[in-house]
Amino acid sequence: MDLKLDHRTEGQLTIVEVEGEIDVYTAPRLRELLIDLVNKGNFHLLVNMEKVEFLDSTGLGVLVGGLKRVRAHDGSLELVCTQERILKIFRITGLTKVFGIYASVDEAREAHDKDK
Amino acid sequence: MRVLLVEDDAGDALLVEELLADSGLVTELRWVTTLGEATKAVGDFPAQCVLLDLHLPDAQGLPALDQVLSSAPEAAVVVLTGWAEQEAGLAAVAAGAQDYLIKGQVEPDLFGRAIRYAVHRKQAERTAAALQAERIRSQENARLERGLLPVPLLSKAPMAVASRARPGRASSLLGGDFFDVVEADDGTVHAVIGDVCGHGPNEAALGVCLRIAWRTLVLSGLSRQRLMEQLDRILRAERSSPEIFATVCTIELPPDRHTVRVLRAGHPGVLVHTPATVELYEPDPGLALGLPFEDERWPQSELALPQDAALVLFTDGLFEGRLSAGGRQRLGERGLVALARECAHLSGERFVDALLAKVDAATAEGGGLTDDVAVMHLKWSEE
Repeated sequence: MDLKLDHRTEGQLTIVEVEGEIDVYTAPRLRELLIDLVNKGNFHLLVNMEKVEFLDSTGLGVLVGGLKRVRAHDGSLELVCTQERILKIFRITGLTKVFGIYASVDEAREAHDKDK
Repeated sequence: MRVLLVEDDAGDALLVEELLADSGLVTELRWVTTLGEATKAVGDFPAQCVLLDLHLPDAQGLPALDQVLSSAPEAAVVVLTGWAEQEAGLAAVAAGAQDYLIKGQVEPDLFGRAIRYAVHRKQAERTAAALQAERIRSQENARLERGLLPVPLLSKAPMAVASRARPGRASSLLGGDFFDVVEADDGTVHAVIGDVCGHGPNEAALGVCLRIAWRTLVLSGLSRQRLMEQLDRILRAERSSPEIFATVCTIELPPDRHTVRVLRAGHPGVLVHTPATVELYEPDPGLALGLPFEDERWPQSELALPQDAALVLFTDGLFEGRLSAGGRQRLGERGLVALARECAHLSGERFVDALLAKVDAATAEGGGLTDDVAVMHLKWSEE
């Protein structure tokens, strides 16, 4: 199946739009994008998961790996997600405690601006 | 048979053509005069045999042979040499050619036979190499599988254990699913199922490592909280990449048979299987192991064990299969429970086989299960 990736910068925040399925086949592309963004100095990432249809453990591993990379630069990796079936995966694995999860890009942006 | 002749001397080429015509072999011959043309020709002319002169305008001797062997790895190579260079012919055979023939010294019969034998030898050689690679791979898989799928360590406890594990379609290698059953000194039966994220030999090896670590920690009598802390620590120390994490679900069945204690570290719940029905039990989960988060406590919960109940531990591969080709619907946990209920009247081994068959059938159109799958069914036996 397909995974579409896009990203844009809004102030300090780099927003990564993810659409489709993040699984063992497509996860490597998301990993490459996150690594590339960090290598180019984008340390505050917001991954929009609203259009993600499926997420498996390999995909979770990529998000965790991304978080570790940005943290090494005092950065952040946060998520936008309101879909129950995706949230459930984060809850089961305990990742709700690891990632900031927001209901919308605006909400995440506000929280981020306040933090600074 | 397709034969590619690489020969820059037109007279010699004509000779070969005549020999072939008289040899009785049915051949399709293509003639090129340089190594460069030869490497291009094999693209659209997959020759079974290459007849190679070692004195070409653009390459000489063994380097010419090397290039032919690498650009036409499936073809038998027969080197054509002059009368005075039999040594070169022998060297070519040692370097990977199937045979050498001395120009002007060969009768058509012998020429045809030499080519036929060379092609046969090449095929046998390739088959043997493929078999060897396959054998090494299956030995490797068997070793990992033995490590991942253990014999239950039960001394007295009358516990019937039925387990199945399958590698996913996504890779022929096993992934990192693991499970184990151990009886502690007090007669409590401990079981674990786990899933190292990702696929491949590293993840499978890490699965083996975690299983043995878990077994050791249980036998040394650690509390469950302490045990998970140590397992988490071992995972962090042993993993090959920092993004690897593992989910684990453990259960404890005390010998009074009335209860079961469940602990989840980022792992799906357990199925409670009675002869009448199947329910998914999902107590509060704690964090998966190896995540970038410190100081975690894993909630532990206790469930009264219904009469005649069995417990089924599984990995997420069991319910992540797609329901139709290219479709978005996955089986999901709810779908899994529905299929399990259809098998509720079966026990042990038969329940597990029937459930796997139903999951396979439900996801067949969607390409089957891509991730690896492990299932373990545990039930106190009648006394």
